[in-house]
Amino acid sequence: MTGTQNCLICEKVVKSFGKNTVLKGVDLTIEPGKIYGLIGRNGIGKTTLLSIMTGQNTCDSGSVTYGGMRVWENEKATSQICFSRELSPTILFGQNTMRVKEYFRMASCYYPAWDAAYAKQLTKEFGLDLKKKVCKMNKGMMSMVTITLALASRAPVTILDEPVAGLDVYMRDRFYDLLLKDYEETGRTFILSTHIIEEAANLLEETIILNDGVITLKENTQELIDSCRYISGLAETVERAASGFQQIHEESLGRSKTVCVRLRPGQQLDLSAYGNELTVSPVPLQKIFVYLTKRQGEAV
Amino acid sequence: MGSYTIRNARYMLYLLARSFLISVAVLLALSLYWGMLGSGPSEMSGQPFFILIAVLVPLMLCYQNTAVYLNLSLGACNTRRSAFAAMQIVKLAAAAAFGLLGTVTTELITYFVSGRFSFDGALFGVTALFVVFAMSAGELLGSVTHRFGRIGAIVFGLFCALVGGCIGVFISLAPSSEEIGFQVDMLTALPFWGCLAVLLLAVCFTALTWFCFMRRYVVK
Repeated sequence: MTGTQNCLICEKVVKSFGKNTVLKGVDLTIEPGKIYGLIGRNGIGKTTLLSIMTGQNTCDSGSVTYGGMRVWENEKATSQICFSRELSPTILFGQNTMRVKEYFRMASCYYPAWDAAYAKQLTKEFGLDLKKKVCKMNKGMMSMVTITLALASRAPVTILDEPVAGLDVYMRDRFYDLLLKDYEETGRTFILSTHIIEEAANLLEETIILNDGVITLKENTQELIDSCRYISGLAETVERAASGFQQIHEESLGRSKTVCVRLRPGQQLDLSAYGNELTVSPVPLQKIFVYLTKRQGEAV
Repeated sequence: MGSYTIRNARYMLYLLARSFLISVAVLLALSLYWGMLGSGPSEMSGQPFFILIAVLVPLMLCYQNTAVYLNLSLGACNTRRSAFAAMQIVKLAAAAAFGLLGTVTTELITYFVSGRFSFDGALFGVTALFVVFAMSAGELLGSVTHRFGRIGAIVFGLFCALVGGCIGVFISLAPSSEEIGFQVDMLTALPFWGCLAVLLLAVCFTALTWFCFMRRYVVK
């Protein structure tokens, strides 16, 4: 890969809705052949960002390019992208009476690389009834339709917005397996926007955090997890040990204290001098996200 | 613009074909119903066909296309230009299809009444013109509804009421109290400037749809 080849790049993307500026200059590069997780709090602008990145909606300023080509109103670029959104049980002012087969028919028309055989296989796997209306489905079934549309689109860049919402544990597990299998077979780029972070952590090659209108973090997931540690012990000892590190969270219980530290690149956490006085443990990705996105005054 | 326009047109033509079949079915059903009520072919010659086929069905089709299916099309990463171009292709296809349907229907009715065909080409042209007008109006109203929500739906309702009122006026202008049908002859006698006005209005609606709405259509 050289230069911007097949990279989806956002540069200084700004988007406002009335007086509310949701995206305040987003800079983001999506390299090909990786599974990204886009995480952020509710209403932070994840779907807005994704819709701008896929040329579905406009931005107030900034640019989005794919493979060096602008994405907006560019068939060559948008034909490489699939953005599978959540289905809605309502449409216009009434119920969404479209059937599953209607969505698949549309997808076969609109996606150049639509894999009908794979869609059929997934339909069977998920137990979807092609004749069922969307308004009669539960949230889990709607998610299954979304997942089928995304996976069978075979688009080089496939984006799934909250794909596992409403799915039970078994189906979520199944989805992750299918995604991984697809990725291994095709090597295409996936971007998952999800709130169920811990489950997806093993799947995500890179984690992107959108907070306060900008990308506050874009890192290799494993490196991010490895860079954070809980240090627990007596309060005075923990404070001394953690003093040289970036502290992203702390909590006290009586005389004990636990601090979450984040190591800078190249920084080592050497607490051998404290012996058994301190306990060092890994931090789950979900907790890292919570600590990095908590607002002032919020309890965690 | 090429391949995506064709892709969009393919799906919208499928929707058009569905609406067309429904129109034929409704037309047949209404003709049978009116026949059962004692109406003869002369009374049926214009009324059910023109009200339903030439105005309502294309209007509703385009309204739904713009308010609902366009959102799905753009949500599948299509471009606005290709979707808009496809809508115009479908508009012309619908004009031809419904024009042909209307002409064939009226010719059959004329044959049953008088024993001969009239081969009135003007009917095809007028029907196609009104289909284009109705679809352009449907596009604009669908865009307004998508953008403004319930306000758009109210505007759509008012527009339908206006159209219904106009049709009522035409019906009230029937030559005699015995002929309650909306005479197709009146429409085929539309002067050239009348046809041009309808066409210009259709073009204005289409231009308004593109410049005011489609370029900034928000995919939800």
